[in-house]
Amino acid sequence: MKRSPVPHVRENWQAKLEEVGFHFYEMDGKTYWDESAFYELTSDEVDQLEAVTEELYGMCLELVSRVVREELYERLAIPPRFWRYVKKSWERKEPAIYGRFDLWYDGRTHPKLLEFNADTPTALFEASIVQYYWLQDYAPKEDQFNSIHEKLLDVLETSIRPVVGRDVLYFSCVKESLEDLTTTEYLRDLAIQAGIETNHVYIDDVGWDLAARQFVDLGNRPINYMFKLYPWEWIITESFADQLLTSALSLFEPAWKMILSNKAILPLLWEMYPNHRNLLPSFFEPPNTEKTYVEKPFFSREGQNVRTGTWFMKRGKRAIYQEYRELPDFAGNYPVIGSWMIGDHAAGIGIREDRTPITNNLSRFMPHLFRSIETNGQEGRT
Amino acid sequence: MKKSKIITLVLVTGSVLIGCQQRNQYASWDDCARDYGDRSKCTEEKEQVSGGLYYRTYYGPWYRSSSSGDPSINASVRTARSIGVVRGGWGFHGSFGSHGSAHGG
Repeated sequence: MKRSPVPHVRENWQAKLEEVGFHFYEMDGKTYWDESAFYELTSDEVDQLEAVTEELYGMCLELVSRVVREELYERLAIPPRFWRYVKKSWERKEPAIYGRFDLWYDGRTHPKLLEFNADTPTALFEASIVQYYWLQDYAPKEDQFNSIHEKLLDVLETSIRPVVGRDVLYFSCVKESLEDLTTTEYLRDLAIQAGIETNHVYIDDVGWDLAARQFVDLGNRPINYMFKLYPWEWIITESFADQLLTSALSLFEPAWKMILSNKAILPLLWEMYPNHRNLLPSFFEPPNTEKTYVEKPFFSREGQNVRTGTWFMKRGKRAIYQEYRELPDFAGNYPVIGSWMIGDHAAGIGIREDRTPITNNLSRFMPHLFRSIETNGQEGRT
Repeated sequence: MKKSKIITLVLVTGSVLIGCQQRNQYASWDDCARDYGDRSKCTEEKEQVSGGLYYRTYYGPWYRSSSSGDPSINASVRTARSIGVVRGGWGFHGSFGSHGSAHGG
């Protein structure tokens, strides 16, 4: 794995990004999409990341099974009134669409799980579409660990369409976030291609029909199936939580993802798989040893409220402590591998890097490639 | 080969998402006209549903997305057509996410 600066970026790169529907290449006045460099991996490294991602996902599913079986919901701070709801979702095998593992990886040693964004992962469109078209322009003969698009299409056709049937699948996100709207509309695009009837509704516009006791859209039509780019921990703590328990609404990601979209899975995985080569030691209590740990709230978004240190006074029950692992340094840049699970398969990666060792919401997205066996040794760049 | 063989997009295009535009959706001409005070500002579209059935849906004009809705509509009027349906039960946290996003990670 290496980081390669490029002599010059694509001519009219902004226009090229906009052509594919990507408009948030700058955020808060700072570069977000950065093609001034790319990461180059070997075929073996890609194989390793693919295998590790699927192994971690298998471990996560075992964890969900254990939580449901042993009713460990309290350890994840899931409210008791939702325990049965989560259990039913798992027992019904409600299909999941996607998730993103954030991995520490330097190309030399085993990847390590930093966290799993199982519910509302960022950077889907960048990983699936934007870097794909970058590769088409920059090095079309090279390969990329990225079959996210076709795997999403497959999951929507084979897992989601049979559930939704001839009903309408709504796609929902918050207003005033171009990033969220892009992700949601991208998934809706794929759902249309998968033969699913779709509609869009902002999450704030979802209504509850008091007489019919069902969720409705702005035209007061029933919503029975909805993809929501809105975290489960908010869904179950806001005003419509009670209605959700009594309605026929099915949400994607499914309710059992509540278990995995929670940093508490890190110490639980460590309990189940102690000293696993792809896990970092993680605990519910602050170890307070000479080692440096990272304190992460159960529900933390984009590096918010994460603290690093050797001694902690536990802040309530809702934080975990994960052994600190300095991100690999590539000439002053610290990448994190976002490895995508689509359905039950590892599907590709997106790399975000920062100039500090803790990735946050202003990290830059960097494209990647690897030399496929067919083109190995040939100059593929244009 | 680990990259997608081909990528097709039917909905997401270069300009669709610019500026997060949206428009209000109504169940009837009258509801739409009541909000905008002018039927000519409303448009009718048919939306196909299962079994050959369709809904007639009515839309107000496009406007830039805003959590408070279309600023050209009087709020008291908008409330009037919502009797029997409560809204806003989700979305409270939306404005607290980074960039207004509800994304994690």
